[in-house]
Amino acid sequence: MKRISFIFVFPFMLFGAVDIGGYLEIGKTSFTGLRNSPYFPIYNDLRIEGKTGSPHLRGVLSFDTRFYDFSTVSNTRDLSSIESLYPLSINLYEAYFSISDFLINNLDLNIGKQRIAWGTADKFNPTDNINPIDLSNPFTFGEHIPTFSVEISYYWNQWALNAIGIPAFTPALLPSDSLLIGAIPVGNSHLPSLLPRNGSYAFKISTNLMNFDMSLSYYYGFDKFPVPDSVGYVSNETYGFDREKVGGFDYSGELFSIGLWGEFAYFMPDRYSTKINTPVFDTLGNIIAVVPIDTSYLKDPYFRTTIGMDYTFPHNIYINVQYVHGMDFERKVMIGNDKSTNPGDYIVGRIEKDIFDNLKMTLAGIGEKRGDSLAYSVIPEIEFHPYDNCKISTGYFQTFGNKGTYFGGMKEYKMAYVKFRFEF
Amino acid sequence: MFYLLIVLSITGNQIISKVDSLMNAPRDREATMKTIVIDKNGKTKERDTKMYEKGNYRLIRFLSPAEDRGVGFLSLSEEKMYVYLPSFNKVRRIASHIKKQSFMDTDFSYDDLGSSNYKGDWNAKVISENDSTWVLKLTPKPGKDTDYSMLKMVVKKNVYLIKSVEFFKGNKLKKKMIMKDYKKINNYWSAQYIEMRNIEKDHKTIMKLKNVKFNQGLPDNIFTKRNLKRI
Repeated sequence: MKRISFIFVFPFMLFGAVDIGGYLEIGKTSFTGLRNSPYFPIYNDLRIEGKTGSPHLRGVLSFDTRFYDFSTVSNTRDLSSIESLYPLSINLYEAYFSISDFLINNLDLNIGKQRIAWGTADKFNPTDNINPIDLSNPFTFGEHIPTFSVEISYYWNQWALNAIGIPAFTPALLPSDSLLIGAIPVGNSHLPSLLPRNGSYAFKISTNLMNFDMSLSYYYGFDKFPVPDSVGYVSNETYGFDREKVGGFDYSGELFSIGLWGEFAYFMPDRYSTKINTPVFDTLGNIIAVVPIDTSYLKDPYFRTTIGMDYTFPHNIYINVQYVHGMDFERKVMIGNDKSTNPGDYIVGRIEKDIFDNLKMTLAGIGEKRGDSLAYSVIPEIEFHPYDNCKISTGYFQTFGNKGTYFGGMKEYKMAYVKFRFEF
Repeated sequence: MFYLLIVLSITGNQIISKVDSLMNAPRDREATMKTIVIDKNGKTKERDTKMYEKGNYRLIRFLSPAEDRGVGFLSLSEEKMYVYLPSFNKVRRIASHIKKQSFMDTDFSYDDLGSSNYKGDWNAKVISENDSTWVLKLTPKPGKDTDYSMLKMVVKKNVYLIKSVEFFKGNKLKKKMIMKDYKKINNYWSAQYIEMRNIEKDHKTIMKLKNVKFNQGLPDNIFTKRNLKRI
């Protein structure tokens, strides 16, 4: 622990006063719909962040500690390992410097492992493609993993220009089970080689027109989700990562006091060759050869979009509704030569109401349409705020509808959860 | 005698016009603010903020408690407001419906914290007076979308400063604001103590201003999304 503290504080000793903060979030989720209501193995989280510097030069360093309060012992030898009894991972979350008015006025430079959040929508951001998404915890859906990048921003009156370079590729963090995204790909994976030509870059230009904030963006990089390289009966599946270009547009503003926002992203994947290893049999049924047949898994451009609005009604009743076409993990993928699946359509919403000073009630819901199939999920939640910096929330998740949909596939997984969060 | 005649003949609209011009006289203002929210059981919650103002522009940065530290609020006009939430690392536009909500769980709404523009939104009539104060009744101007149907304002005669404001919906008193401990700083008056009582909830919020500075020459680029995001 002393070593961690030293590592954490040392870089800031160069600056002086360090503002240290963070949070501890612990919780338990149980599948009430399954026999004996087993726990859902979601990690607890401790994040520690330090910031220091002056208005022109600032440094940020944070660590994310994910720990489980259950053991992963599979062998008696594991009983002598504290890591097995109490699994823990410490990850450098962010580490970057930020320089304002770098070389010239109104030019900012950020270098390091950082989160660059693009988009105006609430959690469902199709234009937010700089950092890979973190799907390891369904309750923090929409979180992304900070990655190493260089960001240059220039501001001129109502205009802002951002240019980002990402030297190395980082894939998305997938869940440890198939609950959230259906089938988890299993097989060998090949990351893009560590070469400068495998870097990514992005640009965004933002302004305000007719009292609406809007921006146009372009991303040239990699899809963060694995795409099959080769599949077949007689060989292990292998996965790679596909180059893609994304053109984006977003806006936010208001009409008649109603908050409005939207994002549109047009994804253009490079044609990606997938080999289907097809066995050839003799008359006795023995495999005499394996013939790789080239096909495409991702080929055609597709789009994802979010359109949303929010409003506060009398008695402090807040409503937020979004239409979403395509989740982060959905693609237009080819099945065979002439069929493809498209991203699904969703309505996501929530109603919030403060019951007392320290008690808030939220009813969230997701409706999904996929072809002729429909599903919807409801998540009622109560949040209790007994003291400053402390929140306790409890809720329930249940899905209804057709199993041919993503959410309908979770019908059996009724979940009850309780979470404690302390900020410092 | 001449002064007395002028004072006697002054109308409610002239008084709120003077109040506005006095409150809005400084070119800019910065201050640190301690906000104490007290519920009906006497339980308190404290918040520390740093505030910058220039004309209609306002930037508020939360310093404590830990759960709000780093949160920033930027208002450029009634329809152009932004909030910065460090946990999302994102500046988010917020629509003007938020003005109906309480500001960070205090008894002030976003509207209550807006710049002083009584003359633009309200018609005022003097309903009573004594040696030291006027009592005004303010009703919304036609076409103005206000959260309250009537205000009752007490104004100090010698300096045209607000002593208290009562906020009504229908005939029902909803809130009462008390402003006191006025201090003259760089030739401008500033209330160091502002209290907002929520009558229905039996709840109040006290704002104590410290380190108030006027006309520091705050540049416009303080009131930008770029600066809001700065840590």
